Amino acid sequence: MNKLNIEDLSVVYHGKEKQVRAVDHVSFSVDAGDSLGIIGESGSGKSTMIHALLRLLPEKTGETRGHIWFDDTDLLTCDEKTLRKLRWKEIAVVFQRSMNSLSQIHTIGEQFEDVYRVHEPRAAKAQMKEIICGLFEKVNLNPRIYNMYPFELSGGMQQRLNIALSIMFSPALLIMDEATTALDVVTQGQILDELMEMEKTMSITRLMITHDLSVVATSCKKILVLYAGRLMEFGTVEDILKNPQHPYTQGLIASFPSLYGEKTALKSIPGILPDMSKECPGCIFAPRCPYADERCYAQRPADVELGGIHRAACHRCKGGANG
Amino acid sequence: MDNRQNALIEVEGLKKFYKNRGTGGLFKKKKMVQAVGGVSFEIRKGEIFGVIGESGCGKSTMGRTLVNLEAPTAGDVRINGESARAILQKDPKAFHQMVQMVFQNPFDTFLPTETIEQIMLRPLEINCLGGSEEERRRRIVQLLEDGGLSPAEDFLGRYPHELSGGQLQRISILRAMSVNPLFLVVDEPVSMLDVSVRADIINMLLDLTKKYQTSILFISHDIAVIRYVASRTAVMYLGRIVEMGDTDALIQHPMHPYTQALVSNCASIDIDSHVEKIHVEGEPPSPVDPGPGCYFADRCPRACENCRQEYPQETRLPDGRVVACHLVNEGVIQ
Amino acid sequence: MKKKNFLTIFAGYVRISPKLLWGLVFFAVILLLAVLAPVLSPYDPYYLSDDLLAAPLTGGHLLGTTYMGEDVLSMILYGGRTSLKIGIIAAALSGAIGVVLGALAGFFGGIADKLLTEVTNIFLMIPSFFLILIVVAMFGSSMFNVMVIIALTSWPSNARMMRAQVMSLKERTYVKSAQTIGESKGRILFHYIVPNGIYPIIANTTMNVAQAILTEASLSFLGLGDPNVVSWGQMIMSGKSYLVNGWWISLFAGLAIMLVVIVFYMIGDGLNYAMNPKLQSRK
Repeated sequence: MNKLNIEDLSVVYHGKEKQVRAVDHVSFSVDAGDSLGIIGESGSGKSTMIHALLRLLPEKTGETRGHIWFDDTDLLTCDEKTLRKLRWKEIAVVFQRSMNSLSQIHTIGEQFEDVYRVHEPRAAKAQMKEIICGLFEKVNLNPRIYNMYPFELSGGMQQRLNIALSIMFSPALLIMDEATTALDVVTQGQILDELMEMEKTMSITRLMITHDLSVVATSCKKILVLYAGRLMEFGTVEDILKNPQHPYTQGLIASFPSLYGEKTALKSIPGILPDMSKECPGCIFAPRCPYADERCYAQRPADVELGGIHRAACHRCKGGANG
Repeated sequence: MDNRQNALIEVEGLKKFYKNRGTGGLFKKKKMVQAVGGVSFEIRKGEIFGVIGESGCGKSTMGRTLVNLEAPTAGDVRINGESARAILQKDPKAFHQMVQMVFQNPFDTFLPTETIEQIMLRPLEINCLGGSEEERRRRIVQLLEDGGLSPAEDFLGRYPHELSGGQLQRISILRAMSVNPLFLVVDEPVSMLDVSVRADIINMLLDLTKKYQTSILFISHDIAVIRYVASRTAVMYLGRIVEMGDTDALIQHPMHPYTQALVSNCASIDIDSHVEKIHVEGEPPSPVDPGPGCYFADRCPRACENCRQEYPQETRLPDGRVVACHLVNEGVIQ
Repeated sequence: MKKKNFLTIFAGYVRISPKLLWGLVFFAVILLLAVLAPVLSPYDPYYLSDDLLAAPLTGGHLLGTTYMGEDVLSMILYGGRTSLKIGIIAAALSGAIGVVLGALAGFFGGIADKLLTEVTNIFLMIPSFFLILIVVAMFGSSMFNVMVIIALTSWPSNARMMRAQVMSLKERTYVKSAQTIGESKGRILFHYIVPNGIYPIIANTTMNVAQAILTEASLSFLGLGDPNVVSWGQMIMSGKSYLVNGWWISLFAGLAIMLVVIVFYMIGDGLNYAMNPKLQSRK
């Protein structure tokens, strides 16, 4: 069953002089217990998409169209009350720099207890402490910090606290927007392991928004590749990493050094991100694509089904066959 | 030791301490923060030497000490056999022509009010290189064209905020190279760039070492990038080098338990090669008072009594690998 | 191509803050009035006419005359020259002292920094107006003395600001990169750091102009201004005894001071707002 189903989502920012299509007709769905990595560089619209999903975009300038189905609720049209109920308990999010989200004048334990009581008002103190210390251990923090203040911890430790806070109620949907990017390699590896372990026992759907292909490769089951607000390719990790069909995905993988295996020459994708305020009738990647022809500039490619859930938006792909 | 014979840069016992601000009462002696706690290594001519480590391990401070942005507390750096301190005393300009640096944040490397032309001309003006103004201009045009920024005339009149991160980082490298330095320190040069343009910067640095035989100290937290660029690599933990050796061997067969944990936890895009992650508890100790033993002992899954008592000696193994670990010294890890 | 120099930055500020725009417009008007005082004034400000204490709009005196028969409008126009001259020069002098000392202390740190911090603390502690009174009493009250004294007592706030700016800017990458290409210390400080950190001091200096004008007016009111020039403070003092039957003397001079002070505060406040994105998000 689809836990989250995004249908034809578009987000347009209305500026003074121009409109920017930050997300442009993107559709995908994830099942319960799935983990999806959303890969994109700066300006790909990956963060905008998450803000749209949480309805956090500024109402005056950001116009959202399409549907975001979370079970049977459309997150874009449901009323505030329903949305508030869903946030945190059902949908939790950790941003890259959420270090400042903790109060500096209350102990960490107090703050966790407060959050816990919002949803479980009658929890006993001892039991609560046990649960909270369990959370700390999950993110590789010593339970000793229970009585400490956030300013006594390093930035990385505070970020781990936020991750602990987000998994407190085992949310149905966990969104991590570059949440582990700033963490140390060892800590990041361990937290990702811990999350994957949790997902085996509880039904958590995870969205990882990142620019780091390797993090997604080791911790997710599916990958969505975004470029300049448009979906380029969608598929399982194997589909994308072993059999990439879209030239952008291929370019991205070729520019990424690997830790094992053969050292192949790294290649950048030439060119720069297009001006997203300009109308683009064709494929938005065409100006940087080594294979682009006339059709790519004239006509926007539809998603081509490539077997299973694998699909790519490229004229060169033919259904099922290699492009 | 043939290592030393063709060593261009020799670093011996380099230390950098800072005064600990705030803490320490009126009568207590102020404690020192040990940012770099005595590191020694050599870099050969035309070699890229990698330094990996986590945030706060002192790798950036070490890099900045090497280019004299920070004065070392102790230790010696020799460039072509000559002490860096002596060169600096004799002629600071000569030092800056030998040693250059490329920074992490290309968006903040240049004065926002200067054009690319002014930015590129400045090192030549300071060092009175390149002849007349017209000749200097020709030289920077040639540099930009060779560096993949063509037509150069298009860039000269522009301001830094009008260029992309990748272009700015290129200019940063080209400016550093304009004085033909022997040694270049690059500190996380691609971590702020988009993935799809990182390869350009990395390849550019690789070309430079080939073409001009420049030695590069490449600081990064990304092991995969280090593997791609560096022939030899040092792993730093809390201001000291715990392991150092040939990059490929180091990644394939790490010996120090910290390196083992680091490499095993590193994400990779090769989904086939699954590595069991080594679990490490806790946080690095405070750099103010790291204790008498091995700094990693408290977190090390294999630590023994000796590890907590005494900091292990650096040992050079037959294949050139240097490891500072009691278990390796005693032959427990091979 | 958009050039990023002082002019365009300033134009950007004007666009963000309407207060700044209007402040500048009014300032231009005031400046014009002061410069053109000899042309615009109907009388010489020192000319003693036969109309003593003439009410406004009588006998060709738009704003009336004083008890000695001087034309109030002419006095205000000429007095504006005095006020503006003293205010702007004193504030600029204080800004320059503050920038140089603050920059040196922030850049070199150590003993220079400790010394400056102590000196600024002392200056901020002593009631500066009494210091000014003492100095004027000792050295006499020429316009030059008044300007210098105001500058010497008001520079510490500028120095503090500049010091904080330099301390944060010297950690920026472009400063580090300037060091690695071998730039001299002096050039790093005055080419790379100071021009990028001077904007808050500019805003503060415009506010200081208003403060200096008020100080000068106060001194003149107490009879300690330069007796050889017309000034608004003196006018208020001389009109004090005639508040009942010659209210216009003090009133118009007071209004003039108020207007000029408001205009400078508008510029300073507008600059502050335009330079501080944090203030802009708070609406």
